[in-house]
Amino acid sequence: MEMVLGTLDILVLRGLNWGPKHGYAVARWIEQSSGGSLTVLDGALYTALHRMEQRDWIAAEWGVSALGRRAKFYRLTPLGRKQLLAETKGWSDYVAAVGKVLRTTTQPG
Amino acid sequence: MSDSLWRRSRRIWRRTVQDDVDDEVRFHVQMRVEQFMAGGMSRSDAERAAQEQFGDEAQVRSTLIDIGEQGRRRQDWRERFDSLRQDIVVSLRSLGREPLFTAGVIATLALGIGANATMFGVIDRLMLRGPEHVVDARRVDRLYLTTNAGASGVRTESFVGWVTYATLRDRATSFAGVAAYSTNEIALLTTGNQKREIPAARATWDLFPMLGVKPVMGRFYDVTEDRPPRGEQVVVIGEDFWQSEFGGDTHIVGRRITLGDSPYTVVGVAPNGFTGPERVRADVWFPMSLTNPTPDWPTTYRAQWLRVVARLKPGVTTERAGAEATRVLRAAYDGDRPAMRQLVASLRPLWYGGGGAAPPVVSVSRWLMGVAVVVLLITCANVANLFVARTRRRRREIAVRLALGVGRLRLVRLLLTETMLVVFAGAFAAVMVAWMGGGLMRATLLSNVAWSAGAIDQRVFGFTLIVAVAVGLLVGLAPALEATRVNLTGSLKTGDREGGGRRGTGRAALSMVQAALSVVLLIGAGLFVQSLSRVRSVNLGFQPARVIRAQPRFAPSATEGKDARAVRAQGYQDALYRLQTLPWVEHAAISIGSPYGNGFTIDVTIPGRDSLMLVNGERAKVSAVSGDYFATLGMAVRRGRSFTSSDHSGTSLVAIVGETMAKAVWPGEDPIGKCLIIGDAKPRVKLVDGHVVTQPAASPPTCSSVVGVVGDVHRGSVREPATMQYYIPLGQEVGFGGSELVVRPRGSVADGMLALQHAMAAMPEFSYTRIATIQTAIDPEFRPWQLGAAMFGVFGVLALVIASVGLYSVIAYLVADRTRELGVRLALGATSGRIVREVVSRGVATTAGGVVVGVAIAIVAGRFVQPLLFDVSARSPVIFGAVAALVIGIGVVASWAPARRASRVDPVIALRAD
Repeated sequence: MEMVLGTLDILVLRGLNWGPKHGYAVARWIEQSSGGSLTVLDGALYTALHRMEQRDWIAAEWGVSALGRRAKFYRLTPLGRKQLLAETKGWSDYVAAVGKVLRTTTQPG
Repeated sequence: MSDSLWRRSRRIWRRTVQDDVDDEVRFHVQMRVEQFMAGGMSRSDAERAAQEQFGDEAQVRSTLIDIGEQGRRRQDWRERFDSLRQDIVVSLRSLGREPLFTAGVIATLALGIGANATMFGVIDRLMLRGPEHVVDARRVDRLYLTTNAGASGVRTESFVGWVTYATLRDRATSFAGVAAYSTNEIALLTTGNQKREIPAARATWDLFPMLGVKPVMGRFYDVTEDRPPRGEQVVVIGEDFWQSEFGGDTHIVGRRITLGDSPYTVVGVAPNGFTGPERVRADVWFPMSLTNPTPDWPTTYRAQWLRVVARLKPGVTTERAGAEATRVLRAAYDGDRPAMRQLVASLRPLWYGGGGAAPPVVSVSRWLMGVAVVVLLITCANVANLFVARTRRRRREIAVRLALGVGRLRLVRLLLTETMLVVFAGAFAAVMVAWMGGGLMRATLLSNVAWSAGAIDQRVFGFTLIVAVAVGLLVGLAPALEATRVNLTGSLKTGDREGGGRRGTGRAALSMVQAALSVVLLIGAGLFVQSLSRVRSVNLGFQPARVIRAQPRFAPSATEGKDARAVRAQGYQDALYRLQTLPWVEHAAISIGSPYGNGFTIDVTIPGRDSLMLVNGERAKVSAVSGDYFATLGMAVRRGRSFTSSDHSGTSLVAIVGETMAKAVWPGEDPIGKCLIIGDAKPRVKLVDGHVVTQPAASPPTCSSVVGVVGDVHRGSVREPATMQYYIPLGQEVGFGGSELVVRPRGSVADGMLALQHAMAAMPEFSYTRIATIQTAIDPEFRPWQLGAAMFGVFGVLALVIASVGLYSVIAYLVADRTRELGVRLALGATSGRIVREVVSRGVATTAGGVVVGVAIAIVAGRFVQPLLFDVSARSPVIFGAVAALVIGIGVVASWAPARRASRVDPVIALRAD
């Protein structure tokens, strides 16, 4: 399934909500939690990460990965947490609205 | 930060941003490869799959690097801003710890910079910027004519006749526009029964379009309304007059107002602040052709009452325009003065005075600007001194910071921030000083200039800002650099007791400079004060402050249908009789022509000579006066008699001559009984309405016999050389007129003026009387000296105060610096008197050095000030001596207190101290 435009940010933020992660871990989390049905180009993921870092939604720090390798870890900032809440709500409202329309039984006109 | 350093550090960031991106991407791809290989792929397949999964790697990398660098830059700015804020906070805190120092420096700067801002405001208005509402004023110049009339020498004049204006307008090609105007007139505004004088001006219709001014309402009068021989009864009024007098009536255009005795139709409103080519306020503007100086004014060169201004065409230089004007005016001249065919025309800036040079107010203001700069230099020297002292006090603190690894650059920046903060606070206060100072100068010393805007505008503000930055750098950089050159270990060990090498020699030099500059200013003040007192005590030959001059205006009803001349003559006589009966009137007289008023020259000869010689380039001036005139003015009758009531139109012709005339015309002889032939002795050809009219000579010429000799009077200037003057009885005058009443009251002049106003108002034939002492007409001439005396005085005292504070702090510092040494000497038995003498002599030596330098500067500068002085040598030994003594005296006083302190040092404390 292709990603709906603009939803990558919210997924990344959500992924970081569990704690600091490096980019690869975020990618894996998205793949696994969507059951492999959401695919995203890794390049796009990194672009999103870096943009959000500049917006101060997430902060980055170099650390050591589970396997002892140097990796750049991202974590959610308070601002990012706020953003996540807002976008989550926006997304749910949107889904609910679309669902409502799709479930409707009356004929147009 | 230097340029190369900047670039190097940029390179460092670029590498780190790129490294970060490389590392991050490499880690990710590695993880993917391992993931895919764990899923059973071969390494090469896994690598390919990882690349595919990543997308366009090169593209993404460069995007990431861009994002990273943008972030770096933003962060960098934030850091710079933060550190500035931090510097300011630290500086404020440290300045707050020494409030006295801070306040002193701010006050000093406020005065120093404020003086400059004030003078800049004045100079800017007077010279740099043209009059308001004049578009591109630099291209508009005034016409001056230079003539060489033999004995009367070379004269440059700006007053010309209508013909000169019309010739230039019609024949010269250098100008985009030519116009004529006359200012400083008075119109009598009548509303109901109220009459009031308002400032007025006349201008040819083309003045407004030539200057480029736009009316705020209605229009300016046009060529059809300003056409010789007589224009229409229309006026343009000023905006603030429109507001104050007519409440900004929106239907003002077309309304009729009464000026003098006749109605005028308002055609338009000129914008606020419009003063024409000069800065003289005018509430109403009349068409030039409504004037009537002589009946033949449109054709004669004799009536010269207007000034010509012209706008140069693009690309035309003033030299070329002047040359063309010279050619055109010479060619057109058909009068009888040969000098006019040799005239040289020139075009000079609008701010030039009547004689074609910078007017006294401008030259004095220029000097004052120079003085203000000197004061600013003193201020800088003093503030720098205070800052150096302060950084020395903080030597240990600075050494600690340097030792802790605070960069020198950062430390310099911190110290510079401190200076800048103080300087800008000072500059802010300086704007207030300029606002008050400018207001004061305008109100008192420059009250004859029409100012429309406030003393502070964005130009003065900008000037203040630039000066502040310059002062801040000048004052701040030296001590800051000095401070960071601290010897670390020495300062840490001994604090501010030792180290620093050249003990205050730099500061002493600064003090000396200050003393020198204040000497220069005080000598200037002395010269101007003495000029002013000399000019005030000049014997003008009469007592201008005691003489009230009354110029009544006859009510239209009084002269209606009668012989106006006879009615007027009778009216003056009646008024004189009535005034002479009043108890408060000591003397009163009628005169035609008086000092600092109207002056007349008519042909006068003595038997056997064609015409009288000129004395100092002037022809003899005549006045027609009634009997008590000389007593009224307080003039001395040297020989013979004064006029009496039996000298009038019907009796035998008599004259009284002034001393200079008596000596010049009849050298070594008794003038009493000699004969003067007054009036036209030969036929004269005149042009009237374009026709040649020959006036016959008065025949046979009759003698006026000289019956007395009186003292000379100054006719229009304290500086004028002696002129020939003579007087004839009122009623015997031919060819000139314009009576005035002159009154000498018994009691105070102010009471006399009030009483005279009442007396004149009670006489029904007069509608309005203008009343003023002759002194009022003299006062403007004193202004440059007043201005000079006041400003040099203020600046001089200011400089002296600053200099003495500076000297005090230097000596006090010196004493504090040598506390230990003095303590040792006192312990070894030196007397306190000896210590005091030593310290004081050090202060006096510094001051004396300054005095020597100051006197030297004053001697050199004297050459340039001399023309501004009155009857005082610019090298007056009395003033030089007095100022030198004063400044050295101040030097003694300033070093006395620290010297006393030095002599009371307790050796024990001094030796223990740190």
